Amino acid sequence: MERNYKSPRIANWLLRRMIAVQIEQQLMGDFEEAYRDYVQEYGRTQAILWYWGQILCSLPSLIHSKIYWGAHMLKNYIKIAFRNLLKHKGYSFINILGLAIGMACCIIILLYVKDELSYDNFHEKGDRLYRLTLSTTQDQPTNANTSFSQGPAMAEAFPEVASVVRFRKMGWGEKRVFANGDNRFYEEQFFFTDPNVFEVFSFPMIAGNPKTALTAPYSLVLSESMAEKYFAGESALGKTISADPYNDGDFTEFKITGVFKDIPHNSHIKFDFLASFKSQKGRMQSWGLDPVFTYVLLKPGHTKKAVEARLPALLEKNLGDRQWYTLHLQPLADIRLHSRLRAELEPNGDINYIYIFSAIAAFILLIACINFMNLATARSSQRAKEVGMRKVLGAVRGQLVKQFLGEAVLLSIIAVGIAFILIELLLPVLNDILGKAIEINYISDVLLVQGMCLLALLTGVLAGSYPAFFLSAFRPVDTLKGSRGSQGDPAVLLRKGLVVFQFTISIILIACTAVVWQQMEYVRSKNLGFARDQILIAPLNNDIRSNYKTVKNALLDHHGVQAMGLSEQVPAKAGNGAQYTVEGLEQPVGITRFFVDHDFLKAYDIEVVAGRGFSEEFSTDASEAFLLNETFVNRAEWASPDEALGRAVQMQHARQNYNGKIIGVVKDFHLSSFRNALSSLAINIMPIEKLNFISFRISTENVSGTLDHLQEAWQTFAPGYPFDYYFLDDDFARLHQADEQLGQVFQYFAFLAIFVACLGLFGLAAFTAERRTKEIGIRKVLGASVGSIVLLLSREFTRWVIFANIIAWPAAYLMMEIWLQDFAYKINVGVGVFLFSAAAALLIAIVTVSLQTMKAAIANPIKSIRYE
Amino acid sequence: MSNHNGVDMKILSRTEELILLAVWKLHGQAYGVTIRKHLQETADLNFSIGGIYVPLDRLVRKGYLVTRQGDPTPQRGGMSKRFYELTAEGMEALQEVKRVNDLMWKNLPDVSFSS
Repeated sequence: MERNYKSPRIANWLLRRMIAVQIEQQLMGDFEEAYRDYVQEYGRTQAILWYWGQILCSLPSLIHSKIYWGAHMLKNYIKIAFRNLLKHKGYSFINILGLAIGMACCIIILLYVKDELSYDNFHEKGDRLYRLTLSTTQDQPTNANTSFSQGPAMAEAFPEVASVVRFRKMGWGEKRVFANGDNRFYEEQFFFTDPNVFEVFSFPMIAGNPKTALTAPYSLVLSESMAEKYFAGESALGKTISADPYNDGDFTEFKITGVFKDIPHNSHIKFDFLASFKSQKGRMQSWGLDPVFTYVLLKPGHTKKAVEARLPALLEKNLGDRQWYTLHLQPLADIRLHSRLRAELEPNGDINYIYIFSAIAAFILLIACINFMNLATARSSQRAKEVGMRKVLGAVRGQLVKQFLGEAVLLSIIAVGIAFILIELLLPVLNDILGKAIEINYISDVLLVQGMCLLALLTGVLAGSYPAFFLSAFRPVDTLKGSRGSQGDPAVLLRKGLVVFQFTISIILIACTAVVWQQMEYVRSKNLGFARDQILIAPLNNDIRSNYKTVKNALLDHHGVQAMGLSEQVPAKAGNGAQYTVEGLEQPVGITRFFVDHDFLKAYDIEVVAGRGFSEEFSTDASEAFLLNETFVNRAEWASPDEALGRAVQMQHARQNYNGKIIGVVKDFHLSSFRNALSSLAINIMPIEKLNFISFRISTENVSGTLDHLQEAWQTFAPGYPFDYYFLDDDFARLHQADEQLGQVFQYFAFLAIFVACLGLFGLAAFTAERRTKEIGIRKVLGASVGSIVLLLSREFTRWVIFANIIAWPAAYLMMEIWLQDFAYKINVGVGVFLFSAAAALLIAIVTVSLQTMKAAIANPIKSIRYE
Repeated sequence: MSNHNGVDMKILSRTEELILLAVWKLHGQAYGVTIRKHLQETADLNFSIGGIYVPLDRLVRKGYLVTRQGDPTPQRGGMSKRFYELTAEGMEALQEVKRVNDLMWKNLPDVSFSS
């Protein structure tokens, strides 16, 4: 009979979920009592129906009270959280600062990643756009540049291709003079382009017709800022501008037919001037390697694979049996982060760096979260009383979990605020290192603000979860009796583990920074085969060419100028090749060409290891003498450089054959980044019209005096051209810019990581010292020295850091080996790096801990023993 | 946490008046179930079991009622009761309502209703 009085279980279970815990007693009781009355009056079946009905009717008021009590408790939680924050200012400071640094790193990296991912994503037809790449090794693409004829041939032969756009770059990083009357400047970003460029790419035009602007010969469009630079305050449209695109003194008048908006920074191709393709001089047909970049727009529904499959047949048709390269398509979206070819239009980013940076940022945040966990659990005995009291007064575990999580979230919200201040401080540094202009727009970037809130919440939950569950599990009786001590605390082991983890990451970062730094130092200092810091380079022009003998004497007439020479390409910019047929080799080879004058080798001080260098004494040298480099000899598998001497060579260049003999072999010298292995090279003398650069070897003393002299002499012979020089080592440094940046970013992150880890260690040390105040006092009374107490307190932390080292070394070694794999020329990762990072981490940790332990050890024992 | 928004805070709603009267009437035995039952029987006012607490809570916040935790009983599945008692302010508010009511009822002219 009694059994029948029981209220329905499911309904009760549901009810219990919906009732605020504060009114559970009274309401559940009411429900139960009313139900029993009802059963007695109307029977069980009716009562159950009625019961459900009651629950349904009570719903609005239940929800109301739930929200009301929830808000009430929230207020209380926040109040307690703030009190705790203020009561333990030191811990709060450590926690908030650590979290703020972690978050700032995360947000900055997020901004960087967002910026990198935004490259080339603004083209409407971007998903159908591909860049044609070329491979001389038959498998992976090696070159970003192609030739004149491939694009049009594809457009004609392949039905899948909607259109093809070619960009012809003038020279490799050489500048060209543009002039509007006396307004003369050297400009770098200049291409000849097919007329459909503005239909294929989404570069908006401000003035002129995008469809026809580049149709007619000698028409030119320029960017908004260039229009302002040359035609300040006037409309540029319809005006003329003259330029010397071939740097041969032959100024061409271009009619301005359009102005486009400045190319956004997140485009891999940037230009200020585009001239119509038809304006070019000379033959525009070739299947060799030209400074031409070809972009292919496929028709909707066609895949890259289908088109790539047709490319071999196209080459077969046009090159016959002389196919020394293959062609590939590269999606536009892949260029920024997945492409590292020769002759890239600008140094690209690297997807691996995005992964590395993201991982580091996440790790720093994790380190900060660990600080929070460690300090919270370490201080648990202090808070245990509060937990016990709350439980005795009726708090259930869920509420306590909520309370502690809430505290962590509050802390992380404060940290977000500080993180923004840090970001404002750090962003300019990062921009400086990476050469970017990333900024935060708080108002328009809704996603960012949402992300921030999410990050704060996530961090809070992540950092607060462990302490929340740990603390809320305390049994009130234990805590109130005060029997919960630090001894036998299960959290101690975890705490140790977490500290070890923090230091492992810090040490890895230190070691990586050291390795990257060493490699960069190696890159900076390795002998390139010439004296890079003494070489000064300027572009040649026709005024100088036409009068070179006299100019040369005038320029050399200064004790600072040691030698000078001319060449078509220069190290760090070389990219063009030619085809060579060498006696004794079965196949013709496509290798880097190097056209020079008689003096070039002397100017660069390049050593000749076999045979002889070029000499004015041999009249035939100017037309039929070839030099090879050691790499060529090695690849040809000749026993010694001497074997190369005397062999006949035929070079094909610009539809012409050049016949000659090998007169010597030079020592290898570096032309490109250390990531690439040295390439085979053939050097010969060409007439001055074919040469583009003038290189000076100058004395390292009184450089500015030498520069003044060169400038002055230059102006007297070539008044129309500014003396636009640069130093070769700067250009070489630029080749390794991305790696250099990685190193610097590593440095900052390593510093921040170890700083945050030390914050945590500092807090733990402070806590330990505080807990052992009495013990220290007694030890001192019994005769312990300050030193022995410092040792006692530091020993444990030291042990952790040493342990962290053991884990960190193999990890760091592995990571750095992977990074170094990409370099053809690299350092060996030695023990020194690891000893250094171990010593650094240990030293920093000991100093951090000592700050606290010293304080504890020096303190007067009477005070500490009496501190009850 | 008070709801004082009117000029004369002593004016009670009809529901509030009835609830206060019920608590008074039940004298010491006023808790959710009895109050609800009383209102149902005397005034035909139907509250759900949960719904009754909305006006009760409001009256507590206004200071007209105070609560007292009772002991758990087996009829309630081991749950304790929450008893309500009238405060001096509550009593005053009731008197005020009565005074106004009486005043309004006084000397009303006769009206004949034509049907």
